[in-house]
Amino acid sequence: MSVSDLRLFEMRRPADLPDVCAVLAERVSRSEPTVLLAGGTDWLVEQETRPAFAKEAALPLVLDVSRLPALRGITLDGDRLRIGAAATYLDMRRDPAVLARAPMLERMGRDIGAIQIQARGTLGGNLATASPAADGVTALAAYDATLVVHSVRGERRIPFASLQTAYKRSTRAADEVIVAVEIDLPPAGSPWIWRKVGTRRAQSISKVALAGVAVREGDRLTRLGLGMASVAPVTALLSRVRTLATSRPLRDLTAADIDAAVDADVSPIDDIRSTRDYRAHCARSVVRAFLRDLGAPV
Amino acid sequence: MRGEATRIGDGINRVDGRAKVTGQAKYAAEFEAEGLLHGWVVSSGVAKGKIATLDTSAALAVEGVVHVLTHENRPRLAWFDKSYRDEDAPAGSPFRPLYDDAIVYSGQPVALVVATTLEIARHAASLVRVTYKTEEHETDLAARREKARKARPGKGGYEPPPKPRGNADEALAKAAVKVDAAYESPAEHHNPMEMHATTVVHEPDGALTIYDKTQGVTNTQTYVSNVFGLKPDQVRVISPFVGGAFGSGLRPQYQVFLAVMAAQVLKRSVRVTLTRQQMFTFGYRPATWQRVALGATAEGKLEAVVHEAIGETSRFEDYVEVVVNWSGLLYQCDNARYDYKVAELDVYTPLDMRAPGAVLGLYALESAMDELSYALHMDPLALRLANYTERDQNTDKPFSSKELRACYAQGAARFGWEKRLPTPRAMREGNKLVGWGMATGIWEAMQQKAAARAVLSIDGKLVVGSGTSDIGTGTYTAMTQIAASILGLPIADVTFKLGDTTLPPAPLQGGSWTVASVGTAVKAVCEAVREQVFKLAKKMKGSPLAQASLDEVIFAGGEVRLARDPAQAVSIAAAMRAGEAFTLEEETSTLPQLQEQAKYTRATHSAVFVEVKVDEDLGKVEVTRVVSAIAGGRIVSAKTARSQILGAVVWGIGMALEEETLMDHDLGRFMNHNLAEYHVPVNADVRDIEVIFVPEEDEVVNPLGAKGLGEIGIVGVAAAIANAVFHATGKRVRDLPITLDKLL
Repeated sequence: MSVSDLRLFEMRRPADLPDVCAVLAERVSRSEPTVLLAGGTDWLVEQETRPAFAKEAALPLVLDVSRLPALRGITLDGDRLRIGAAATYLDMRRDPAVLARAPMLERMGRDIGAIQIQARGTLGGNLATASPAADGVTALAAYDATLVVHSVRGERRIPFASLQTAYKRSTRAADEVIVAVEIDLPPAGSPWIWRKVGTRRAQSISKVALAGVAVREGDRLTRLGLGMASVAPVTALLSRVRTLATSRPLRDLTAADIDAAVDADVSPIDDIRSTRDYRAHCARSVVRAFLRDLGAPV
Repeated sequence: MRGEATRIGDGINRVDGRAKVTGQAKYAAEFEAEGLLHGWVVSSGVAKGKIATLDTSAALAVEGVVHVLTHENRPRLAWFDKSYRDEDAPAGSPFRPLYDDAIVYSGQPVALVVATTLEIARHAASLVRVTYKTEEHETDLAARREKARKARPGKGGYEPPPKPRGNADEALAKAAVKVDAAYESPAEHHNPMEMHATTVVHEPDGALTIYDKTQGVTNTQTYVSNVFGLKPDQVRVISPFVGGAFGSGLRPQYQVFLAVMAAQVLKRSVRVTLTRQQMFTFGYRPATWQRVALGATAEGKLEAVVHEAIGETSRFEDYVEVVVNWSGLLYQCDNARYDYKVAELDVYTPLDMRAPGAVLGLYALESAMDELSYALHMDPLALRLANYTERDQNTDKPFSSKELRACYAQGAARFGWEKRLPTPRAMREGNKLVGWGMATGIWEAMQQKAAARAVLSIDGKLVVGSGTSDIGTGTYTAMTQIAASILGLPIADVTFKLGDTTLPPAPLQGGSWTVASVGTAVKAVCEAVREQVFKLAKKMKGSPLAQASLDEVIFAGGEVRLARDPAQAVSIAAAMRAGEAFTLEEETSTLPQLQEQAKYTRATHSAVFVEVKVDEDLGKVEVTRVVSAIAGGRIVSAKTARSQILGAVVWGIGMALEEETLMDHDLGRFMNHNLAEYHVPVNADVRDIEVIFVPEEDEVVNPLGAKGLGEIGIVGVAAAIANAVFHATGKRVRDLPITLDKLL
């Protein structure tokens, strides 16, 4: 049960994306375990805690995808931001397009672990692990991002709303490689929120985190994207809150209605990081605070 | 770096700072030996029971694995408990690693895999298969409180609670105003950055050179000699640098035992390093329950103090610490009753952690004093001053010195305490509630026997040594400074050596007594050298000092100068040359002046003032300002002294808001055994901390007048924060840490 077992792995650095897809397809068809390694910030930690491999089990093949050009880079095309799956949080924090048009991603990136983790961790990895506590996934949920995946069958696009199915499970097929995420950006200067609540002011896993982006026209929200971490088995999209808050003028929103919608959208639990009650309270509180900032009298 | 000598009290950079930041400082796991083998510990997966089967065949089959040590193949070891009792052992039967098939706590070492590389040992350890016959375990203090019993004394430095004075319960019943509450605090682990490690070098003649992470090389030497039946001169223990310990290195831990056992069995050099997870498989600050009841007159004079505590301990040893005694010592009160018990659980024995006992007792006492101040509608500081005492009522002795009043006054002035609005929830800043709280701190000022050796060479270089340690406290710097000041040498010409059993012996580094004990020995030995130099300088032909006495000269700039006319001087080198002394050597052992000290209670004091800002919606607490005013006697090394207090205050913030080792009682196992889930403050949690050293003269504590600063900085911090949180929110949280959910 330790990283030492890494010495038993075969590791390869494929030349390009088709190569990755081909190897992956072949191994998946034979049910051979295969790991796509980008920053390794989650996977390496898992190696410390998983049981040792049984003797008869096949050894995983580790494919290093961290340097594949197809997975790197951040580009802005009109209002569409494309972030390569192997772009790190630090890449995002330093990217002019992100700073100008998606400041919430930059703000979220600051809360990921320590700077060393930000320099290795990737959005693609965060999406592949798909932890409901993942901050990066939470931010993408608020942007209603689209996942771009590749396989030997070609490219497929998965809207965020149909991505996660259960705790750490998604609709991405085992042989599909996450290549990028695409975000249709709200106009520059649109309001947003990133609110992470942890035991300490940095380097803690969220008790609750709220990501939000909105477009406001007069007294109405014409777009509201929300994501919340650590309050459900999957990243919470807060669909009832979205529907409620966009269905009427902001001035007609009430705290009671918002709280009821939040309560219906989340299903927190007690664990070592927090309590169910605190998370439920916190979820209501941060959503109300965001809507208050947007102009709701709550 | 050459120049005038520094004086005692100056703030200088750490003399070992450059070595540390450039990686030249070597720690226990960094020493090499020819053919060094690496051990990896296999830990028990259950909390209680017996090992049913232990299959090492797969591990042994791995190429590079040399041996797997278990209880089944271990060598013969010492038979009696006393051989396993180290200097800091409490009453009971010390844990013996790999002794038999009994499992007494989760994480207990059950095998040591020894291999040619660390990686092979680690991998092979994952192949060791252990099955258990489990028995039911109990790990929950709350569930076992009723079964708590009187603790067996026996641990060095432990004082059982004093006998009651007056009738506290009766006085409490009659008191005009009273508070009575229970306070709880969780298990906490030391978590030094450096994991425990030992490198045992098996010398050709069979002697052992042991590089150990320890707070006392002599303690490790004695333990290893006794357990393995070796003569002390066959066991040399070296520990030049320790990457933090906080008490975790006071007792020899199982890695030293296992490394020595493997080296003895294999006649090879062996290193054993623990993982971060395994750092949660030995001592810790015990989960503790306390009750404090205070009764007072309507004017705020204390009439009754009742302080009871129950701490957890293992089944095999009675870990004890002074939790309750402070309550009858800190304030004037004629009726006091104390109770201290331990509850046995299926866990490892707790271990001293920074300000053991006091940090818990003062959390409860100073929280209760705060509660009493509100019940009395009295300012919390005024309440402390109204009950100030010049005598220790527990022993009916005066204090050797006590400048606590000055701590209160200077701390309050610097903090701006007079601007505090008395009502909770009255102070706000934007959407945040602001709270101001304060607390008192106290710790003993102790001195132990210690010895030091000094060698002055004709080139003006001074080497001083003592077998003490520097666990990051600044021992190297403080001792160098003391030595340099006495012989008037530049810091760069003085070298202090420590952490080696070939040096004159020193006590364990604990109890805040290192400067008081070792510093006194260093002072004495350097004064002896000084006297020799002076004699040579006086004897020189035509010496301008021929008529002078020792108290008429000063040592400065490598010279002995006439105080009234510094131009009349003899260089140390010239004096030694004239006397044909190429080196001057002295060794001195110093003892505390027990008779004089026994007339007094000797203690350091502090007053801590804290500002918190609380986000009321989410219960997030920020400690925005801390002023810590310390009465610690004479300050020897101002910069490292300040660092001691800063670090302790940061830890106090952690204790108040973040730190707890969470036990899964179904498994009997700590769950958050890593630094990702065991939270200590990060930089962003730490804001303004101001340290004030209040002048305090004390000729009783030791010839330096230094009281020690290792523990006092953390005492009272958690209470001050809890009190500030109450002032901000009106919510009294009586179980640490004050996490966000408790404030809703």
